[in-house]
Amino acid sequence: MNGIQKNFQKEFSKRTTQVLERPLVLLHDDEDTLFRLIQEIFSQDVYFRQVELRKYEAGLNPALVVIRARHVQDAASLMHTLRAKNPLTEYIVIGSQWSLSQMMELVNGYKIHRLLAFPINQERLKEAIKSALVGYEYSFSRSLLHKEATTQNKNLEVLNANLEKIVEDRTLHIQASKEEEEQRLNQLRHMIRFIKDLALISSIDELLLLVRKELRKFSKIGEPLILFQTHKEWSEVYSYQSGSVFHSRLRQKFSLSESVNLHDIDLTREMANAIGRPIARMTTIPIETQLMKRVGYSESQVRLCIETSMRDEESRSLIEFLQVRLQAIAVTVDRLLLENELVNYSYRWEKTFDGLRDPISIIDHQYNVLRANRKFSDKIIQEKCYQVFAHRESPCEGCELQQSLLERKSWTYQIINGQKTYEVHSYPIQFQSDGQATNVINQYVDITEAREIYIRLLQSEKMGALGLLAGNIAHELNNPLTGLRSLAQVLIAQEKARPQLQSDLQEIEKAAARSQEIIKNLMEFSKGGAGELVTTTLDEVVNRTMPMLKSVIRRHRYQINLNAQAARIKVFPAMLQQVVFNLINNACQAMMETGNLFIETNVDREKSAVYLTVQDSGPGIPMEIQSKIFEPFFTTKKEGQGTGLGLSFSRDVVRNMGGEIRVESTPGHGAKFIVEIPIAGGK
Amino acid sequence: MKVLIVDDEPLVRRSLGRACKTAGHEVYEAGDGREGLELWTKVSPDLVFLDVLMPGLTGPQVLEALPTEVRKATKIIMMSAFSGQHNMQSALQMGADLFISKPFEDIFTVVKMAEGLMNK
Repeated sequence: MNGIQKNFQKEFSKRTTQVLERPLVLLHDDEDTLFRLIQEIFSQDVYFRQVELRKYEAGLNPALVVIRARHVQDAASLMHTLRAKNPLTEYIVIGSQWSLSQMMELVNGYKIHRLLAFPINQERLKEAIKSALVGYEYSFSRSLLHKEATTQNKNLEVLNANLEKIVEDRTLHIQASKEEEEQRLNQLRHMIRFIKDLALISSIDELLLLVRKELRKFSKIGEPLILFQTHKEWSEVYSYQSGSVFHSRLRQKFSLSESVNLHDIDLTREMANAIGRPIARMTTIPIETQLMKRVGYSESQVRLCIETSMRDEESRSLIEFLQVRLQAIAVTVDRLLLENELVNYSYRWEKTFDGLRDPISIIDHQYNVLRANRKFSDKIIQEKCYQVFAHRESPCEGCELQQSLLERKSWTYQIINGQKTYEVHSYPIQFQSDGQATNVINQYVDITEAREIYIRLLQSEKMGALGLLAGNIAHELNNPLTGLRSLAQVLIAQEKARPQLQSDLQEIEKAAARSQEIIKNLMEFSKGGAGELVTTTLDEVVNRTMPMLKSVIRRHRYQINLNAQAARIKVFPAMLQQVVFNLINNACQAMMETGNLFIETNVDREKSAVYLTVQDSGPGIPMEIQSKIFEPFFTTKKEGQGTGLGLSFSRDVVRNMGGEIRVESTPGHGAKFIVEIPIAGGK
Repeated sequence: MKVLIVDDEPLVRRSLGRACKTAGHEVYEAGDGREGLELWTKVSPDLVFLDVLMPGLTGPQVLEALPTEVRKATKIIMMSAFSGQHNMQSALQMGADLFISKPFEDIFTVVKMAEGLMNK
């Protein structure tokens, strides 16, 4: 083949090499003339064969077939067979003496363009073969090109197909990652919702329900439970049982591991014992409560426990799922525990304050009640302290809240609230060391009784002192008075001859006698004891008292109606006399100019009492002091004119005898004092 | 009759003395217990008006300091303004014959009572 190649390279272009790979086939006729001729034309090493036409092998694919045919029909039938099998092959037909029409038939019918006549002109044959080979080469290379093109086309198609596949893959991939993204987004959304839900819950119960809901997507797990070990002695378990959260306090502590434990064997056993039912397998996840640990619960342990029948690798997805939520859960648990603790604190404080004996309130500088215990007020209303506590519209009498704020130190003062007297201790609250105090803690100590006792003590002490004083004065005065009166009596006896002097002496004697009477009364009054209970009548007591009042009553018009002669009373006469004296004396003193005095006694059998009424036409008693006039040391008289003990003493005396004294007065229209004394031995 | 009046109040001494003199008695006066004690032993009165509360010696102290025979030879009327603290009973126990509480209602009644005592 190489030899052939070399030879032909000289005559044909490079492209011809491919052509020469094809064998040349010479079909012979019955003579060898053509064969030899062709052999002469081409060198020895040109590959060609003389082939029996009938034995033509289809697979040879020759570049050129030279046919020597005696008859046109032979050539035609041969061509017919060959053309079909070798479309590229060029043909040279060598005929004998064919007619034009026979040749036309060959040319038109079988596309034979090279017809040579026999005997062969060697040059012409050579030309023909050359031209045929060029033709072949042309059509062969065209067929190669076509083939190439076809192959290329096929490759392109394959490439195209591959590309399409890649595009499709890409599309699928993009789609997949989009889905993945969406899934992640969904997970995030889910997380956000979970965190939102967490933020809204207000109890461990709700937390458990939420976690339970969150875990619903996992099969093979039991109900979750939350275990708290925040107290030294007990554990608390929140579990879900038959539709609701069940909270139990166990008098035991569990040993807990500090990290996630897929199969907490110890706890599984202990918990099973504690709650009294078998537990398959417990996975525990620690919940770190940072805040609680910071505020003094360093030992506190919180665990989310899940009963599960998962294998370890299955559990991992559960753990992963939980771990991203763990921090949010921990923060929530922290919050709930702190809230709980706060509520407990404030509850305890509230109870503590409510348990105190005294009313306590926190008040701002404008008297608004900020906090108060139950003793202060049952209701919690935004009102002023004096509205709530004393039902007034202005600060209580004696309130020194402002002084306390001003001085920034505790302050004690007394206020009167209705019938009660309170000692108020105000403690200003200063939030900053140099700041102004704006709030005050008020403690109200009920000193009504203590004050009354104190006043009575004071009174009795005063009375005692007064008694002693009166005794001394009486002694000191009695001596000179005795002398004075006696001397007057002696002189009266001696100076009978001088009527003018005697009359003067008699006045002196009378004055001395009156003085003695006053002293006697004073001594009786001051002795306190008053002697013994005597059965008498109110009228008699009044009658015995009237002479002592002559001097004061003189100035006024007076009327005395005594109607209680029939009712007997059991009293200390001297004391009751003093009361009558006080009331009438007061009435007379109250009337500046000549007034009208009305004194009356009555019996009320229904009430089994007698009544003394002393009514004057003086200015009356102002409403605001009507409640005070019976208080010891209360007086409207000028200093030295009254001790402020008269009415207080009178009330004590009357009450001591089982009676009562009261006043009725309209300012401007005088005053009426009414004394009620029970009739002796009841009705 | 000799009458001794022991009282720190001059008006009492004077009025009582005047009344006694009017009745015809010999009157001696002492302004306190010590003076009274001296006068008592000196003049040996038939009757003594003795005030209880006095500066120096009190009435009961005077009685104690007095020799028994002197005291027994005298009629004694005790007087006091403190009716609560002293009364007839306590006065009698201390050796007095009569107790009169001050103030007197009528000086002549007192003198009459004294005369009645002396005439016993």
